[in-house]
Amino acid sequence: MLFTSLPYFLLLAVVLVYLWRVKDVNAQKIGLVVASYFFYAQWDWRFVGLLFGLSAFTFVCCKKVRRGNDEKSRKAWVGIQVAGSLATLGYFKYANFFLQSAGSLLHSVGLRPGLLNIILPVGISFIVFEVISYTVDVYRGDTPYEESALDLFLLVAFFPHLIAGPIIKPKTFLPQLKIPTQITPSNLSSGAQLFLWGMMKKVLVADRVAPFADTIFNHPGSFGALTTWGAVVAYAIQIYGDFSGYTDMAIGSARMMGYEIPRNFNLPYFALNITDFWRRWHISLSSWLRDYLYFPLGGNRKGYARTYLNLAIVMLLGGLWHGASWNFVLWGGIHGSALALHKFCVDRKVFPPMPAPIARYLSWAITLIFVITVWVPFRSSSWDTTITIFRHMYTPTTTFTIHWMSNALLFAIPILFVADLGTTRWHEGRRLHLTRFRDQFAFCFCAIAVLVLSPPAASPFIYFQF
Amino acid sequence: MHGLDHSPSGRNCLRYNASVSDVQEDPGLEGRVFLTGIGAFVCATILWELVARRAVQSQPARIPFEPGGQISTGRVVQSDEGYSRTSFDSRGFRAPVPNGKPRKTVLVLGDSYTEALQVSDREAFPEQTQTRLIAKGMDIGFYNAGVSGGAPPRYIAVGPYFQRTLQPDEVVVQLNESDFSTDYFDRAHNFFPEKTGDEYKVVVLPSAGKQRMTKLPGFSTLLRSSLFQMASKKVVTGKAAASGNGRSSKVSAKLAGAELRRYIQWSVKNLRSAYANLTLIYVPYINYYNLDDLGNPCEAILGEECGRAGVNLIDMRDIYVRHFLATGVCPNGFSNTSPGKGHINAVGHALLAEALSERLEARLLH
Repeated sequence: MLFTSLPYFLLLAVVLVYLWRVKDVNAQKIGLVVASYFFYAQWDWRFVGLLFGLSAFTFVCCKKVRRGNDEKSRKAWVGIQVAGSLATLGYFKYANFFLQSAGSLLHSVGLRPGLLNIILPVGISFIVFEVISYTVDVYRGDTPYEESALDLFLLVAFFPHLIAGPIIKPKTFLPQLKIPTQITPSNLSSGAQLFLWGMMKKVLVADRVAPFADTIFNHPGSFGALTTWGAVVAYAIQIYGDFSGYTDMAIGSARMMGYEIPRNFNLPYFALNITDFWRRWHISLSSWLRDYLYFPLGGNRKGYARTYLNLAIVMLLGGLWHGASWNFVLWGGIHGSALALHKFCVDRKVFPPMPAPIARYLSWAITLIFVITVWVPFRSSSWDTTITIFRHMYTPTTTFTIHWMSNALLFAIPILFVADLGTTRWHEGRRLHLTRFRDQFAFCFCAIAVLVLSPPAASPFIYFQF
Repeated sequence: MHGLDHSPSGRNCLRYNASVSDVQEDPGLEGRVFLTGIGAFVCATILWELVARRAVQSQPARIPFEPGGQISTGRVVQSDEGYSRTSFDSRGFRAPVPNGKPRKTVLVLGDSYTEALQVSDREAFPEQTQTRLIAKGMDIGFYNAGVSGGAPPRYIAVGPYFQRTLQPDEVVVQLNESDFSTDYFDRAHNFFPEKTGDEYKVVVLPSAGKQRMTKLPGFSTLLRSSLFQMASKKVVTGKAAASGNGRSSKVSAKLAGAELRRYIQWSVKNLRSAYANLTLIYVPYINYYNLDDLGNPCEAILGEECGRAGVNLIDMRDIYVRHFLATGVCPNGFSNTSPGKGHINAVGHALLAEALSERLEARLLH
């Protein structure tokens, strides 16, 4: 059930009517949990049990953490919960990856381990991170333990963020469940606006450039340097449009229901350095990695060398979190190294002095080119593809070009600017006043634009595979 | 002020806004907002309808076709793959239709490759071939009767009609791989082959579309609306994608072995009988990412059968592949698709026109 599909609009409409009519907070929460499980079942009903099981397991562990008499047993229960969640993630997501990797080593000694027939449950990475953050927060005392399992079940399963985030901080979401939500014109208006901006990014930007990028990445050896560069830029636009569009729709859906989900993207391609980029890109994941991995590893409190190492480790694991492939590890490793290098340069003040505007534009351009280039291993299906794409980016190997495809970029980039402007203004509180004809017209015009200008076939969201 | 969202983001603030809503200050506001909202929606819809008709998509009207089924007439704008604006005249010929009465006329039959809605009028191969031959001093006019979904049974069945109404000096029939699949072997099409023993015969069904339209006259305006057509197309495509069939719900079932040869034999023989001066053009599926992939065997069989029956055949494979290897540009694919996929683009049409004009020049001058 894609956010851009008719069934999702129907589900959202039903939920909104339900929340509008039902005023009791518990009844509202039950309705939302049911709707969320129904939403999840649309992907694969067999994994509804997994979602329920992880939530129930977390509830039980947190209860033990809460009621534990001594620090040791509390820690033990946190350990059990985290290990159990990671084991679930490991089994579904990484078992075949490690078997395959081990297989190539064992092959040399004559052993051939087989692969398991495992289906990856959609959104499992996000669900696992959500339950871990709740458990750790309860242990740390950052969020109160919920005596009612309903709140925890809703935190994990809340359908706008269930499949691909944003990863919600329990301490920001759970307090919102204490009082009944209200369906108000204000929330409907602002939520619908953000949903629309997100939809434009997804349908008119990401889906438009997708065929261009897909063609080159599916046939990496066939195209010349300029076309390959164009495809890499197209992918950078596609993944941003796709993922930020998705989160805008998620935040917009939640806002229509009266719930707040924090911002997940803040114009990342305008970042002035790689550290800045990670403060703007997938903010909820960056925050999660910082709070639950970087800080526990010691953060920057154990000297320079340890700080750089921690950054590299966090990003390596962040890369692996995205998918069971060495390409993701490479992507995370490159980003981790860049973060460490940038931190090193800042710590040692090694940047050469130059006028502020030049430094600003130069650092922006370097960051952008770096980020775009590093998307190559992220998008590539194999090492061979990554190497071939890199080779074709820097050496004129063939004349095969698809110059007419640049139309897709010419079309997508201005729309991305408009949609991003709308999103930024929305987060700044500057929104359309849907009581005025002019703004109503602008809203309707953009909504119909999605219908008129969208490509015939919608693509699934990229981050659903993670 | 009736602003809805000036408050800083924050749930309590939003709720507060609602609880002291503008509606309480102004009891008539709710109704006015509703009315202006409807007005804004209608205005935006009308504006987009005008823009869409002019620049995105506009379907031609459908009228009954004497031999059977329906044909397109009127203006059409298409932007799914490439982009073109064109029109069909009252006989279903794609613009431009020859002016006056040329000394020699050529009828071009084919499917969507010939109808060529993805390219502009001047780029479609019948028009380009005409321009090339006129430049060589010939008084010639081309009639483009390409129809999406056209197939040999249709071309065979409409023969007598065109011989009577147009009396063409030469008939060009464009074919491709899908013509020799079983896609057209059912009653969903107005012209389809029915097998009796080892032979086929063409079955022609009367038009059913007209009856459907007259049953719902009130909806005809809505059905003709570009926005409605685009929405319904996206719903259909979305359903097809959801059911795992990708862009189309139609799955091509291929004929094979002796059956395929028999059907090709029958097609060539009957086209030859229907049109005395016949040229066939075969536009093959080419896998530009693996040129060794020769695809369906129908191409080779068609070549053999045309040679046996003495039918003039132009197979575009070598021409397209040579051009691709020399320039790196695929003759198929548009800005909304990917290179090598989908209909033939302007380059493909130009190459086709070049090959066809050379062949026709030789034939028509002798």
